[in-house]
Amino acid sequence: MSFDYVEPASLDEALAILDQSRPEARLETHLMAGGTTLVRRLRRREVRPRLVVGIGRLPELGGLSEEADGTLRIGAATTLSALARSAAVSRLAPLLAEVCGRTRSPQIRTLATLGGALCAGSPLAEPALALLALDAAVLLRSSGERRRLPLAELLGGPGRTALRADEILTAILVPGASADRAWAYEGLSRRHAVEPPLVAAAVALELDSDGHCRTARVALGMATPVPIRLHSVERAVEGGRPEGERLRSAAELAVGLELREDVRASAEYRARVIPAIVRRALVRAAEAGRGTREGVAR
Amino acid sequence: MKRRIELEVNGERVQLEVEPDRTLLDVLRSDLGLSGAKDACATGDCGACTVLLDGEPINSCLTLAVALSGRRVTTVEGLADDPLGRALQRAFVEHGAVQCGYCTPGLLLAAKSLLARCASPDEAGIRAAISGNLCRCTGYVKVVAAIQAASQAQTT
Repeated sequence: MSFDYVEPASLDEALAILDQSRPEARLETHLMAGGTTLVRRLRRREVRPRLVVGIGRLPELGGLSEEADGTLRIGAATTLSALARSAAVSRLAPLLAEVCGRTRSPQIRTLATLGGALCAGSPLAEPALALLALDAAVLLRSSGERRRLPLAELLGGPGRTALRADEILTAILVPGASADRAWAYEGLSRRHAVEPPLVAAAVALELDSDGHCRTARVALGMATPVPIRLHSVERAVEGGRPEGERLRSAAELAVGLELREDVRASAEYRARVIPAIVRRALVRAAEAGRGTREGVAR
Repeated sequence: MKRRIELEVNGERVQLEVEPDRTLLDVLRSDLGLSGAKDACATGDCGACTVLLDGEPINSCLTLAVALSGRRVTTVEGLADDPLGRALQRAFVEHGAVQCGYCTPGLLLAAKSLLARCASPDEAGIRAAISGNLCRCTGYVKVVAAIQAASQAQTT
């Protein structure tokens, strides 16, 4: 049982191939960038493509640039390893650089792309957590339309995204306003690598000059069907100094969530540890914020 | 339907005709007789299939050979082609970093990629570089020592 493989030379050509697939056959046409998701599913016989379209080398999906308004534009086919090593990403989105540098394993990071990680519809994609906390958006192209979606709208449910059958995700945009946020990423793992954390939280805090939190972003994942923002925790942190009892009680609001149960941990265990992981991430982000303000003339 | 691809494998250009659903791992082992890379977990979780793609480690079990035309692949069989590879081989043997040997090709290549990029990594850097390679036998201590020794041999 084999399939055809085609590597279009341009984005327009790739989109035309998606258009030409008959609607009922579109389910059997699979895009492949790094291949770490698709080939794994192939080997586990979870998918049976008729056509695989290689988009990992499309020039329109590459590139990393800072736009005039400070937005970091990341080509969807940029690998996690390239993001982890990029000076621009370390400067403009250090939370993303950190998370991309510790996702899965060095071998996976060499091939896996940021766009692919988002389109896989996996609850276990760590980079999605970082991007949620950074207010990222995605650009989607079909041959007739361009769409820009906030990341939260792309991530529909486990195994599902809002990506249409005739669309390709072309770029990820991180707003310039996210660049100065105090951040932390905290995961609870049984192993240092390969296995995704059982629970992970990404926090990004915008602090004003007297140390009050103006904007809080708290993203939780690995334990939920899709990565989510914890709005009640965010509201409890905003408007005050992020420290001590305020953070402890904010983290305690991370309850009542729909949680995954799998071979690695039960939903009950995850429910018990989530507030602690969220609190650790908040505390470390707040400490990073204080460290940034001390000794740096801005 | 078979597709013609061209790869550089351990410094040599090879031309192959492969079905699109074949992984690089399978092509290396079955078509080129390079059995150093192992097919262990089949899901990219163990690293026994590790080879270098343009100098960077990948899970060859998770790549389709057809998608790699024009790229440069290094397997453990190509390790002895340069001084760094030979230093790693010597160090692994001298430090007792090999027991059953199943994970060894992958570990050697992950180490080679690290030392080519960073001449004197600290222990944390070494452990991060081999974090995608599972070893059931050694407990990693002698593997780390061997990589440190090889890096020291290279920098003296």
